[in-house]
Amino acid sequence: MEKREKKNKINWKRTFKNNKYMLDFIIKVSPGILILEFISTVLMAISTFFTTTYLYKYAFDALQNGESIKNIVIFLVGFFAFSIFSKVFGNICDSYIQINFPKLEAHIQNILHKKAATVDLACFENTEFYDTYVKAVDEAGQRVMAVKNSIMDIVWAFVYGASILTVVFTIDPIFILIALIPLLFTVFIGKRRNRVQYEYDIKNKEIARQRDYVRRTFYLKDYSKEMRLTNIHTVMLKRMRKSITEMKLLVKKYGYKMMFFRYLFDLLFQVVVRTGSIILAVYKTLVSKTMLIGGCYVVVNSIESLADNFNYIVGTVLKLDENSLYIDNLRDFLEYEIKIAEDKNAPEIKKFRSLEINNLSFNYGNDTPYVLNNISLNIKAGEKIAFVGYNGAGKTTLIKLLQRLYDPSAGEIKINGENIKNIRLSSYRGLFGTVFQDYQLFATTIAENVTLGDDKTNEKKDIVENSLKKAGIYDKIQRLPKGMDTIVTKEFDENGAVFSGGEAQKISISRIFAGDNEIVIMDEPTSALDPIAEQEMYNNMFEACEGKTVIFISHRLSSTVMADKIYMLENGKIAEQGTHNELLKLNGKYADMWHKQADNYTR
Amino acid sequence: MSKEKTKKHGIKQVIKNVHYMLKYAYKYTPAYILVTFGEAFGRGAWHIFNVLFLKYLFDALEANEPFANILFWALLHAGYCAIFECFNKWRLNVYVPRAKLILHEGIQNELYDKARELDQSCYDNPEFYNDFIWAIRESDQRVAQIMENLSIFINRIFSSLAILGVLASIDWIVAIILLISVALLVFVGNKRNNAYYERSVECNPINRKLGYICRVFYLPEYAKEMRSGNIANHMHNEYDKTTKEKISVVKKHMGKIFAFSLLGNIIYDTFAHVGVMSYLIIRFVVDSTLSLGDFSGSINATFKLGWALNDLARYFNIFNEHSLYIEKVRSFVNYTPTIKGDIAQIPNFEKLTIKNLKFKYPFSKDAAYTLNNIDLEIKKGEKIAFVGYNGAGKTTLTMLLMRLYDATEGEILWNEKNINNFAPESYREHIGAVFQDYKIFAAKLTENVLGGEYRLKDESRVIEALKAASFSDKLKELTDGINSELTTEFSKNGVGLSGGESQKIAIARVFAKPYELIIMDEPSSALDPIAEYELNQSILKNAENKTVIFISHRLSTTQMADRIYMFGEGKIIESGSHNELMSLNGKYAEMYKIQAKKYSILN
Repeated sequence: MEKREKKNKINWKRTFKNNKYMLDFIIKVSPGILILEFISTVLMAISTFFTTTYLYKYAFDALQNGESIKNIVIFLVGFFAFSIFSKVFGNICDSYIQINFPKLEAHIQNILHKKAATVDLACFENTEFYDTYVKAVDEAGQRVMAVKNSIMDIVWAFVYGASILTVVFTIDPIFILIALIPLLFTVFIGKRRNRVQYEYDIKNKEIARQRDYVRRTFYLKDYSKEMRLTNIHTVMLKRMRKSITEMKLLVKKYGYKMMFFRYLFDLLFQVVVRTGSIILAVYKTLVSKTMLIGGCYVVVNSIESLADNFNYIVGTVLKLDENSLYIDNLRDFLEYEIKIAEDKNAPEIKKFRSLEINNLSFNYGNDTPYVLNNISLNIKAGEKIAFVGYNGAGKTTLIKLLQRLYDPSAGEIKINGENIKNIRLSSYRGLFGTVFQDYQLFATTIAENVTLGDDKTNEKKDIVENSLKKAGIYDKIQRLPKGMDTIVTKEFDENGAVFSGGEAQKISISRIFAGDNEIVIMDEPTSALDPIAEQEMYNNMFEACEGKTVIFISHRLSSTVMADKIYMLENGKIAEQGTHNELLKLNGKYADMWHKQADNYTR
Repeated sequence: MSKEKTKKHGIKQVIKNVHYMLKYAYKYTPAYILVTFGEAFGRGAWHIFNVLFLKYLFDALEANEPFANILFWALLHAGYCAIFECFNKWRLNVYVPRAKLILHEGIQNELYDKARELDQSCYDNPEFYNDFIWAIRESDQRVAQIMENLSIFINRIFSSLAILGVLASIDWIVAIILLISVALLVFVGNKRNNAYYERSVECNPINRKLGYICRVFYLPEYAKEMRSGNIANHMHNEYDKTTKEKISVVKKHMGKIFAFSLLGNIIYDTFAHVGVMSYLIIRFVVDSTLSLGDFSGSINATFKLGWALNDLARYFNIFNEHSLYIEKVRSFVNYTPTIKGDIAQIPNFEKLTIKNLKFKYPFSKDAAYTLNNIDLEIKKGEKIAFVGYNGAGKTTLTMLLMRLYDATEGEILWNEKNINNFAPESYREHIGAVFQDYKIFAAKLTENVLGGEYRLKDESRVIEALKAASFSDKLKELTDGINSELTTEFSKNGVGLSGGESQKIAIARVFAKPYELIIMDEPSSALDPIAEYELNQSILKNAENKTVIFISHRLSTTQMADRIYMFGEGKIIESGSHNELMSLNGKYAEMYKIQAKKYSILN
């Protein structure tokens, strides 16, 4: 956004490079599109020139020269044939593009997806990244076509414009000067007009966003219950009215300005250029007798097209610049240097022995407060570790750092004595199997949801079945008509399965059982489960993860009892650590928490 | 999505629907209609003026009329244009944007009111829900679009009739050729549109899938999972596979589309335009039966007429789509809620009785009842706990108590009166609820707590309610205190709350008003043990005289209930106080012991 506002001068080099960047995609995947469309565009321009201009010139010349009927008929039949030929060619070209466009789009999307899947997780939390890049990425396919279209438009305007220009030039060059008037307007005043429009659009968009939010609260299911049980709708309606009032004020403020500029242009174009050249042509024909009636006819009929065409070229060139702004975003994204990146030469981890966190501190942005402060701890292979603590103490963040979804702001994490930054990323992340607090299911088969898209899912049916059993959800899945091959959600399949929160959580837990990971991380894995299911899940987990390293977060302290070591976090620091018994003896915060929960059961 | 089911509407139906929409416009901004029609006729007159002027111009040239006469008409011509465009630019930049907003405000108000009256079950019916979203989301744009299109439509009818008259007076053969070719064009165009439509029906699910895959890559909630396991690769492959499917669908329909598009192009461009012009040239040059003015006028008229008729054919399709849209709006506006009742005076709560209740979700394909044979009685002031397995129907029962759904069989009595007799709005005012999937609204903290508008006299209520929900500590941190704006939707400085903090706001809602019945569905699921403990204490203190129903998986919490209902597979399998259920030694006792075991052994 800012970039655009600052940009008053067009950087032609950049514009050219950016548009070429997009064009290269087409050249690489489907150069035929460009070749065919270029020819088709030239044919179309010539054909339009004939129907709008040349035909009349020919008619008057024929009349003057007393052309034979035969020649005239041959000319017209030839023109007829040409017209059909150009239509056939144009339609072939269209069909070719329609068939090849999906391929082109897939190619670009693939590149973007690969980048999106490897870009730092921090990018997703950066609103600017999210707003600009994601929008850019979303319409990449269309944008590549927009670049192609702009270029073809220029080709068209050049061929068509040059043809009319030649004709008008042979009649009287003065009319070319008249046709240039609107162009001067666009060049000199167009910028101011665009700025008014741009300011209006930006302000309007901001308010519209708020209005759209209000609208969503009225139609989305998520809000429906509160909308019916409370009077919150009155607040929402008030906000809608406010935004509409603000929009009205904007119209008032900018409407007349925009009207002025547009009207000025109309006057120039329709009155000065058209009427002016008509009067001049009539004067030359009737009064000064320097023009033939045929020339007068051609000028009167083609002057608008010519002026339009001049303007069109400028408009299209500006569009190239608009494309370029967008491509900037796209390139920034594709050329974004990933901070936590895969290094194919870095060593892999063969066997996990220990994790060591030294003086680790972390904040999400430079100016934001520290979420984690001076954390140091050791985890040995095979240990069961629990993180407990208040809401917002930094437990989940610590887990993300452990998986190298972020790098620490200060301090380091070592695996087997080596800084994890020196280890090959895929190998390092491959050590972990995780149940995220905000786990997601994908709209693919249940089995693939469990193996997380493993290519050999079909061969692993036994493992998947076992994992689902251990997570306590197999009975339900077995009852589905297609069993574990059922698609999750009804998005693509009417017979897709929709799961409740507890069931979905169980499926995400079964990922742990199916994966062969040395370290298992679980962030509040039983928050949606009933007590029986919770108990079963922990029993199965500890049984299945015997010998594995397990790190889990839980607010239900009965489960943390089983941990070899408990870390109690408070305000981003480790407040207490030790086994359950040690911490109870310490009689500090953990003990307080424990008693608050346990007393109810033992009273 | 609704467009998938596009059917053709008859002309009668289209007119009826457009008329329906116009009534809205008439209701809120009658002048908008006047201005729209004014533009249509003003422009029509301009088209005719143009044709006649060009005919006059060349007749005058040929007849060597005095320059001053021509100058007079040229200036008149320009003058009309200047005045009309001034009106038109005012209309486009100043008038319409404002009228659109007024219209928008009126329509949205009506639709939003209607949306809140909709039965909750409407959200479970995907077909209705999709239509409903379509109706609401496009309401503002669509109505304005209909007005614009209507203006063009009327203009084209008016212009083409008038130009046809002029043309027929010069050469009726041309008029007939044009009419025939347009009739053919409508026919072929219809065929082509059908082919496109068939293709889009087949492409829609494919495009949806492609869109879904793109979202998975870009949405932050999926980012963590996309970085673990092989799911990213799996999605890549799915994308490629789906693209291939898309290309084959495009290819399948290409033949028909190619043929009809080509035919349409040849009829319109070659046959009608080139053909008519060749005919006119022959008459003008060879036969010399056409005066220069007639030649010029008819060429001009041919262009204008062809263009206007082509537009008309196009707008038939556009209005068909509008008509489909309006149909959805009508069906939504005419929807009669099934949850209704006449009694607006709800007696003070004494007791709640559920008799032999059965319930099945209206749009569920499942044969089994979600709730089966429920009987229970709750007296004023009692604290009731619903416990049980995932998916046992606890949440569903609370929905029925709030009349978000009505029972399939059996009844719920409020002081012996069936709640189905109460007006849902008034009835719900007596119930305060914390939903499992509570929502925070982009509004002020006060408004979120009150579930409605805030007045100064409410200050102490809001502060007390927040205190009761253990939010006081966080409240001290907020610079604007209870007047803080929540979320960044409306203000850049809006406060973003964590899951636990948001849940506390949701809890505060039930303390902010003197509700007689409070329902809490897993109110502490996101809270840490200390916060949960505090919440429990607070409920006991603040809801002492109120009736409270709560759902919890943490059985330590449920002990304080006067009565516990244990749910299993849609039925109440046990009920009684904690001690009674423990001595019964059934399912509840089992569940409790599992949770309590670890606390008691190690305490």
